[in-house]
Amino acid sequence: MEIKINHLTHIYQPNTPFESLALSDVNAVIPSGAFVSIIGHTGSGKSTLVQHFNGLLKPTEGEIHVGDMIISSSTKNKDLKALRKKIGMVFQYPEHQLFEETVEKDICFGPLNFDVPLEEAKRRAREALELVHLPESILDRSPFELSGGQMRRVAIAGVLALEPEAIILDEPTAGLDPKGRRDILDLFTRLHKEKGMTTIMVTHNMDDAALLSDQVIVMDHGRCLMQDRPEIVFSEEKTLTSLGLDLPRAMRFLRKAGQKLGQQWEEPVFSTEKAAETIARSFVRKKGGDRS
Amino acid sequence: MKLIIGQFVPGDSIIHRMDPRAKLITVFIFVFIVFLANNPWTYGFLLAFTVLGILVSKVPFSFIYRGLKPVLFIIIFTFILNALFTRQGDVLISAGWFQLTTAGLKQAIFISIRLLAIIVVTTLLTLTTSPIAITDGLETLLKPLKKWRFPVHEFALMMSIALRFIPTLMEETEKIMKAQMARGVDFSSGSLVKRGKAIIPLLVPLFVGAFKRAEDLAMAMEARGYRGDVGRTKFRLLKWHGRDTGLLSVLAVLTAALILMRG
Repeated sequence: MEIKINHLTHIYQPNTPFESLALSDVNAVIPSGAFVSIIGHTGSGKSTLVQHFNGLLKPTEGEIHVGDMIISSSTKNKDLKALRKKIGMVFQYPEHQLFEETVEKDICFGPLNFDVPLEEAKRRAREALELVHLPESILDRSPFELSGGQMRRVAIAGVLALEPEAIILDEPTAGLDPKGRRDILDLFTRLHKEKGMTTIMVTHNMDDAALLSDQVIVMDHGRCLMQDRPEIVFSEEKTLTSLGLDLPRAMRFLRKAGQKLGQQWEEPVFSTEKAAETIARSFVRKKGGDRS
Repeated sequence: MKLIIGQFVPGDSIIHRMDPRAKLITVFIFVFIVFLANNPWTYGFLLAFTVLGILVSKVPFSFIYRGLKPVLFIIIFTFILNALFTRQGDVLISAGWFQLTTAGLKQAIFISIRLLAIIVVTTLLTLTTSPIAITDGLETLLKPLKKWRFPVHEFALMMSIALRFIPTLMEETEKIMKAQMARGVDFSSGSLVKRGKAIIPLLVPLFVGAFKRAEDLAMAMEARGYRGDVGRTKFRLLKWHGRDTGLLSVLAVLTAALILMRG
């Protein structure tokens, strides 16, 4: 499902002394089936932006096209429910949204709200649980007696059970240990690849943004500064540093290694393997050069 | 969402710098002496004291007005009630059973001034004194009650923690509301029963979060050696200045004037 953002401006608490401009004139396109990361400093408007995609916030000015729906300041709240069915949202620390007595009831909660029959909701709960790699035996347990990582996966299953066409992730790995992080990210890359789910991820982790996404959107002070492929975005080192953003780890390592070895590698490299390869290749070339 | 109750507007006026104890005593006594007033002169004094307070505090009138907004309805309501149901003095306007008399109008104006003065002065206290200073002041003022085993320190601590966590809880509420809305909950439409039911997915996580936070806070405090007020020294020492004595003197003069001038 394509999401098009046209001249989106959002003002919090307009016409009060607490009025603040959160987004100003944002334009961007999220192609159907793409994996798009949104990066930016804290307070740059990332979360505000994504909350427009499923109608949790309405634009103060401008509009958003989601599939064939248009959201503007005059859209009725009633109409937003249909939108929320198509776009799932995983908030930061999604485990905070658990409330039912059993895991099964909690996962079924979303689908039931959208008038899915109980049997179908239960079937979806099992399927979603499988997607997040949790055993079925967990269904009858209380979500509050699970471990933190399990709770988060149950909460994510609760969103997946809506069977959305697109999913928004707001820092999905915040506060997880390395293995938990990898599991969650693997899950979403798999969903994106296998089901062609449009995925939008807000992240502070430049490695994730660089490695996983087709496109990166850079936000600063409520504006969209850049939208492009990660190779292009992360070659703009100066701009990123001035915004308080890092380069991916592999690129930072290559910069340092390059200084020591008196070399410069221009093309952006994101993964550890590629970085090693780049360095190895330059040694081979050097050696070859010596021989001739 | 922002709350006006207990909202502190930092500033550097003489009222901001006064000792919270002096301000608390003043507000406490003021609430009582307001009822001494019973004629134009005495009500004039009350108004003058209130307006002077606002001017000296340098808090913009718009802030005071916003603090008044929620209670404005009550004031107008009492005004109308008093105006309509006092049947003494000369009749000003009369239409059917409706009658506005001079005494009624006077009564209505006086009662409204009374309410207004009380609310403005208490608002002024919270606008010019940080919540921490207020609880500090209260704790010192209530200390004598300790003789009768009243847990003064715990009471003050509870108050400051409650104040501190109001914004946090509001933020959390908004977050959970959004998360549940994304799962198809509709908080703003449907029948009353339906809306009541929609509250459960909001309240349960909110309570779970609050209890968890309380536990964390207790642990963090214990880890830093908190044992109640036993042997605890203060970081912010309350100091009584000339201006505080001044405030109480003004209050004494006001009280005397009210007693002397009342009819």
